[in-house]
Amino acid sequence: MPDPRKTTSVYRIRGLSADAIWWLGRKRVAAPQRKPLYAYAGVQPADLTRVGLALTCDDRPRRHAEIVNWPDEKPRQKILALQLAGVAVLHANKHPHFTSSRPALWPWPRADRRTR
Amino acid sequence: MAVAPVLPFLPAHARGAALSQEGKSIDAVNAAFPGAPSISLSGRYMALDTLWEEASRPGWDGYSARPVSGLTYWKAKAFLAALPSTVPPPGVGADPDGEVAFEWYAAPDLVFTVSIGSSGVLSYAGLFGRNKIYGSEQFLGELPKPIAESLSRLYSDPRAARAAR
Repeated sequence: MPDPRKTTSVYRIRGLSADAIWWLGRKRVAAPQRKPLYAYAGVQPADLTRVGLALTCDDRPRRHAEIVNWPDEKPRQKILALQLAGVAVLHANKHPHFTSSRPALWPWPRADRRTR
Repeated sequence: MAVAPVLPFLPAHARGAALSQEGKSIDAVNAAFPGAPSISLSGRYMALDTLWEEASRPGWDGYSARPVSGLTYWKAKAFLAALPSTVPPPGVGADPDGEVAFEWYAAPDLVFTVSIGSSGVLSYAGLFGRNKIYGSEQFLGELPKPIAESLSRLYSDPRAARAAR
C-alpha cells in the first residue's frame, strides 16, 4: 500500500545474489525498525505497469526506488495492492534473527585502485 | 484524559431469523461457513491489541507511516465485534495511512480485505478468481451488506473453506 505521499518504497534486486538481497533487506528495511526480516516479495516492473503503476529509481540509497501513480481512492489502492500481491513471489527467511556480515560478492563494480 | 467511546452492543444473531438486509447478508455468511464459532471475541481482539502497540507511533514502518490513532483502534474493535462469530478471524495489519486493515486470505486470487480509519469509513477490496470488487461503506455498527456478501462469496468457494479448516 502507498504511504501518505502516495508512493511505496522498494529496492531493485535484479542481478543480486540471495545473500546480497537478504543483507540489503536487513540493513535498509529491518534494521531501521529494529525488527527481524521474515520475508520479502518480488514483483516485476511489468506487473506494475500492467495495473497502471510505475517505478521511479532515485538510488537514494543505492538501488532504492518508489512505486508511484497510485490512485487517490483507498478502495482502488487496495485492489491494485491485492493484484500485485497475487503475482508477487514470496521468499521466506529461514533465519530471520541471524545477522550476517556484508556478503563477499557485491555486484557493483568498484573502481580499480592504481598502486604507485 | 481520553475516554473510550461507548461501543454499540450487538446481540447474538439468530440464524435464519434476520429481517433487515444486513441481517440477511449475515445469514448468508453463516450459511456459507456453518459450525461452531471459530474464535472468541477476546481472541480476535488480541491481534488488534498487538498491532496497536506496534503501530501507534509515527514512522512505525521505518518510513513515513502515520500512527494508528486511538479512535481508529476503537473503530476497528467495533468492526471486529460486528463480524459473525462463524467467520474465521482475519489477519490484522496497519496501512501506512494509519488505518487498520483486516484480511481474509485463501489463495492469491481468493482474498478479501477491509480497512477502517478514524472516520469510520470501510474501504474494501476483493479478488474472487477472475472477478474483483472494491468500494467503500460507512460503518454504523453493523456489518454493511456489500462486506457481508463478499465474506459469504469468499467462503462459498471450496478453496476458502479448506483453507479455513
